[in-house]
Amino acid sequence: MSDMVAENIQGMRRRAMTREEMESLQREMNLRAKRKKKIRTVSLLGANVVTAFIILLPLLYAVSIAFMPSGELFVMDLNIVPKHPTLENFKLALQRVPLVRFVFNSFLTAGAITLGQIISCSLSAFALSFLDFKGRNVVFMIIMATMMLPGEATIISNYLTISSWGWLDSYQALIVPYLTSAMGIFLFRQFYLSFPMSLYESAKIDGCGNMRFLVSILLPLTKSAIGAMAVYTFINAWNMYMWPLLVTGSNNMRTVQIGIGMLDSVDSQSITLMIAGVVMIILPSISIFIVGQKQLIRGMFSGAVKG
Amino acid sequence: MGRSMAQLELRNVTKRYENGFEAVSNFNLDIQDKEFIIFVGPSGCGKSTTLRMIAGLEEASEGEIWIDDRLVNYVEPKDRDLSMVFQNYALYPNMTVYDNIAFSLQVRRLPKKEIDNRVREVARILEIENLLDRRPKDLSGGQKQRVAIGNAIIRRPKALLMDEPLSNLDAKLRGQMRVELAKLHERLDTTFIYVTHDQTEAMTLGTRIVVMKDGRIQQADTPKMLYEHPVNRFVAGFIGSPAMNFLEGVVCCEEKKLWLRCGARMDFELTWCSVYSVLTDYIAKTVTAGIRPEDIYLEEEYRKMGQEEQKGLKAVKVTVTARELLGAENILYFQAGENDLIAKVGPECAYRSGEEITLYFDTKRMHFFDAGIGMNVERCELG
Amino acid sequence: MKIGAEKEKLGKKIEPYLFLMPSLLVFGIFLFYPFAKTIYLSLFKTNKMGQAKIFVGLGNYIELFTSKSFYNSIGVTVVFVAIVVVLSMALGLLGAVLCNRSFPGIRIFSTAYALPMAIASASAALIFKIMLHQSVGIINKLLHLEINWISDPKYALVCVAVLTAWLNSGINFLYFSAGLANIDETLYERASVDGANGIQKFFRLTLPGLGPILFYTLVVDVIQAFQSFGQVKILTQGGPGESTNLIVYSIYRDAFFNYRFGTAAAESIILFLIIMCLTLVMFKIEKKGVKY
Repeated sequence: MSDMVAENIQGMRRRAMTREEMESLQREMNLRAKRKKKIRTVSLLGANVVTAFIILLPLLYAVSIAFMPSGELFVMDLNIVPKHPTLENFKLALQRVPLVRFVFNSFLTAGAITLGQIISCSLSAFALSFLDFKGRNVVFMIIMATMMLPGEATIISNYLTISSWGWLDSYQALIVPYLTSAMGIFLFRQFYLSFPMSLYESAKIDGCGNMRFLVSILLPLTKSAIGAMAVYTFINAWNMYMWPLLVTGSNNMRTVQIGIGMLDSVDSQSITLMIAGVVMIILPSISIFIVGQKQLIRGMFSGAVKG
Repeated sequence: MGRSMAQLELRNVTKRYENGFEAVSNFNLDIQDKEFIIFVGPSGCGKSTTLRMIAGLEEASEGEIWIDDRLVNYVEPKDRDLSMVFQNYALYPNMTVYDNIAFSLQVRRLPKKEIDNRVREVARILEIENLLDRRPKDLSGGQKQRVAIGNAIIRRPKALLMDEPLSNLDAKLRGQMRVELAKLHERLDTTFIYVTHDQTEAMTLGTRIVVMKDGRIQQADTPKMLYEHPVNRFVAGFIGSPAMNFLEGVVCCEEKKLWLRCGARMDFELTWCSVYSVLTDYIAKTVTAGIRPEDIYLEEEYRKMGQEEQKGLKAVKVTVTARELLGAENILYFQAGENDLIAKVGPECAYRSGEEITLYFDTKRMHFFDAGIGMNVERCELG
Repeated sequence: MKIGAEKEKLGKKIEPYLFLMPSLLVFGIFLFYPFAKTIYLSLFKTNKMGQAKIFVGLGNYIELFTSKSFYNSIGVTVVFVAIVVVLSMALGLLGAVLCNRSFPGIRIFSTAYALPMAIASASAALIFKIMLHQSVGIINKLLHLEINWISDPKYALVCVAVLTAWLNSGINFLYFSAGLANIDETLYERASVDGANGIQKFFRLTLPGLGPILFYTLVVDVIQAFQSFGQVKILTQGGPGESTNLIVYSIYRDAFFNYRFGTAAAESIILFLIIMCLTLVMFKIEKKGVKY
């Protein structure tokens, strides 16, 4: 039987087979196909499990350490899972540095930046896609060109500006320089251009002003772009490092990414404590990412990136 | 082009999806070498699925597919020696036309020289020699079509499968390509299996047409047979444009003659009908009569006929509801009794909506279907 | 009446600029002005407050181009960028290919592959610091090694690069997934009828089909990799020696430790020029190479 099956991969001559042979052959082959499909799914799943484990290893490791009593960390054998899980590290981390304050600062900064970018970018994108004025293309090109400017080319001068205004160690220093983004303008404009001009024209005929059109027609229609933009901006603002490092000095103004560094000391006792802190500050950005992931992907890739 | 002959045989082929839906049921068909077979039917009838099972892109849940006495159910698509033209052409966007055509030979690692010769030969046949360096995005719809066909024929496959290849073209180009496909079939001498939802394409191209509905074959026959002897009401209504008119009526016997009574003003004497003898079994029963728009004549046309021709034509008083002039012919929409019917008449017709006129129905060419199951009464003869 | 109409007309003319005002204001004050100022500063020696004091012309640049340390920075940065770009694109592509065909649990895995994009460089650097720790780190434990990864000039740069690649792989995964989803499924069907096997399909359909997105990702990744800062600051502080002294880090050090704002400004301008040239070159190559 199995010989015949093997031969059949290449096709089988007619009339060399009886009815029964044919039926059993079909049964056998259907089973094989099913098995093959199963093997394929399982191996794909396996490959994914391995890859995902490697990708997630740093995070899993961090979570594990965060729950580990600091004594347990210093054993020689492999200690992947805490034997006596404890919340002590989180408690101590919160006591050692004003983490709550840092989180508040970060939320305020990231939230204000996100809101500001959505407002300023939708205003600009609206003008660039629906209004006709002199130099429209030039303005757009200039805005796009700013994407090429690395932050480092401006950061020193910005620091000097901010410090000359006496803004160092203040919220406005953290927020104001980031109140717009070329990428956001580009993304919104891309979305607005997908609407026909007649949408705007018919609103105009109905006596709808520009601002009203933007707020009550355009914004509701571009929720997915706004969602994508919000998730992306918030995460990036939450994760900012260099700028807050330069312009904040006191505990009152530090954001989480800077503040967490305060837990990083040579004192080996504090390793678990520091990681517990890291886990706590990663949580908000990860949750926002997981909740907004679908929104983010839909907004970023519908039309914006085309093959 | 030397090549072995190709015979395809489908035995009880069934496609059942995991949710239990049967896309194709019990499909049986013998395809001879060099036939131009058309699978036609409304969307969702299973025609594409059948084609894809032949190609090996989908697995048959049951049944056997034989190519030249070789069971191919479990053979990979690439080893079936078939090629396929897809509805959207499926041209590789990153390759030139040359590479698109040559691809199937390149992956088989044929010598470069031979590939080159064959690409040029195919390009000559399809008249796309000047396009070989272009990329698909720089081609027009018709040119893409040719490239897709070029890729399909370069391997000299046992059969060429085409899945709605003309549906993405505009009407004029579609007409042109239809003629060219017919020529190509003649020239290549290969079996063509062609899927379409357009009955005009089916009628003009096919040597044999398989009409499908709900996953089942309704009728597999030559265009002429389909047109003249549709097995059931579905096939009768699907083949032909404009579609056949249907009238419900009761068969009765008066003055030793058979009549069909379809409401107040319409009685048809059935004496000259080809299926007269069968209809005697239907006395006092309801049947559906079908008459094609081209078998209804204007009074002027009737007058010009000879006596022999006039036999069996029955005058009916009707009310015109609309008329469309299509150049060489007129499509006349009218009401007869409660029925809205269509006639295809000569270009000289100038009647307007609302006029009452007399039309002549050719009872010789009427079809009769069982009012219940919709089978053509000719087919019910034995049962 | 006429004046009113005139006014209205003027209002209409100004209105578009009002819409643009917020963005242009921010761009102007925090991008264009500081960029010009950076160029200006790069021509001066400054005092500790960052005020331009002595005009030196191209002096700062000449100083840089005769300094061994700066050449080291450039070299280190180039190696770093190369590792980061190759590794992060490979990781992203691997994830995207693995998640291309639907299977149970695909949502969880695709979230996992994209997740690094939500992690801050600072947080990640702290975690890696422990993972790479000589005695308690999991890497040494898993590999049965006792390497002091971060303090060894041989490994430090690679460690920072791997960390950065990991951070960037998330967004690359999203780009590649979108790219793969854009490839027409019937192309693969045609290829199987045409006789191509899996490997041929990957190299002749999948990769070229991803071409534009691969390229776009390459450009973005290169630009981003050049700007990595947080992970260096936390993990290695440019050391050991100067083995991880990336240009950005060296700018930071010159400006905010040594208070040589002029030199730092010159370095920023050079960095800007390098990134711009690379971007332009890549677009040139793209125009020549990939046509479709």
